[in-house]
Amino acid sequence: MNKIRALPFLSLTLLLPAAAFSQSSATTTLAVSVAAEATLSVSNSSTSLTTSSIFGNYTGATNLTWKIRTSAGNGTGSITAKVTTDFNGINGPSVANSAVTGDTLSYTCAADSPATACSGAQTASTTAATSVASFGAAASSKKAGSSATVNWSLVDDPAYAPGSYAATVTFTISAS
Amino acid sequence: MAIAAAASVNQHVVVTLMPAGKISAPAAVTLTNTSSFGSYSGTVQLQYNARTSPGTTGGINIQAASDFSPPGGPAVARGALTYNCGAATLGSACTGVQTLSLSAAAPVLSLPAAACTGGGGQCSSTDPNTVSLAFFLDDDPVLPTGGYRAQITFIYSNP
Repeated sequence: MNKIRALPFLSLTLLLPAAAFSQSSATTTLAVSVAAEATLSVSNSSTSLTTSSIFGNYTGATNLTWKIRTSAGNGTGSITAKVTTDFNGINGPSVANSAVTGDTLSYTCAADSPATACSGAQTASTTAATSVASFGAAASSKKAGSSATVNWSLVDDPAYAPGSYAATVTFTISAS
Repeated sequence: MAIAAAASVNQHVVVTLMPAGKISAPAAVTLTNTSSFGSYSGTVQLQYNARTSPGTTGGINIQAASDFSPPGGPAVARGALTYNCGAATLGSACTGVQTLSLSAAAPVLSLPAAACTGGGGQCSSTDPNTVSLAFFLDDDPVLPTGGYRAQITFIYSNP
């Protein structure tokens, strides 16, 4: 005869210890590679060349703001200028012909440290980039940017026809 | 004559679920910049599972575990590393720009009371929950060229 044995109700209660504080964490590594780099802007998008005396040279200044970081060791940097569009108009100033006419567009430079500004008067060219400033290894600008100034001088040849003439100069900065 | 034998036993199983949380983050993230002296940036997607009790809230914070190494480069200690939070699938993510610190935890998100991950209903419908953080590292020209690494720690807590 089968016996029936009734068991009393069994109550299982899982009571975990009351944790006062539960915490978990995860860790991530942030990696960055800081490279040599440079950037440049021209403060005045257009520079007017003016003269204060009859047949005195036309002069004006272009202000540059640059940021740069060059590598330690053999890092270098430079700022150059090139006339990418010659003066327009007929019988006016011409950078391309200045070697023949002697009517040069020239400039001198000034630049914040650690840049080395160009030395003496430079003759602008339509075929070659000419120096504005150079940088050595481990050079860095101010965080907000450092300054350079290009002071232009254009020969006022009496042969120029009266009128307004414009040229485009492209400044380039590089860093390694 | 056979006698049918039958018995029944009732068993009550009671589980008390405690507040708990689990988070996971990618082992490494590379910060890059797309323009000269634009900030280096990178995104971390944090995954988390959470359960808060009805009476208390929870949260995830972040703290720099170590500054950028080798020394001489970017420095969390100088406030160079910031972040902002994207939308969280559970809880309220941080707002505005936050600055990472080596000495104090900064907020990532806060979890309301009685929040839980997955399953829908009173819990979130997503499992795991996620929140994205965009990190920004100031690209100061004075930083020497080279590679640098720092460690950040995400901390889940139920107070």
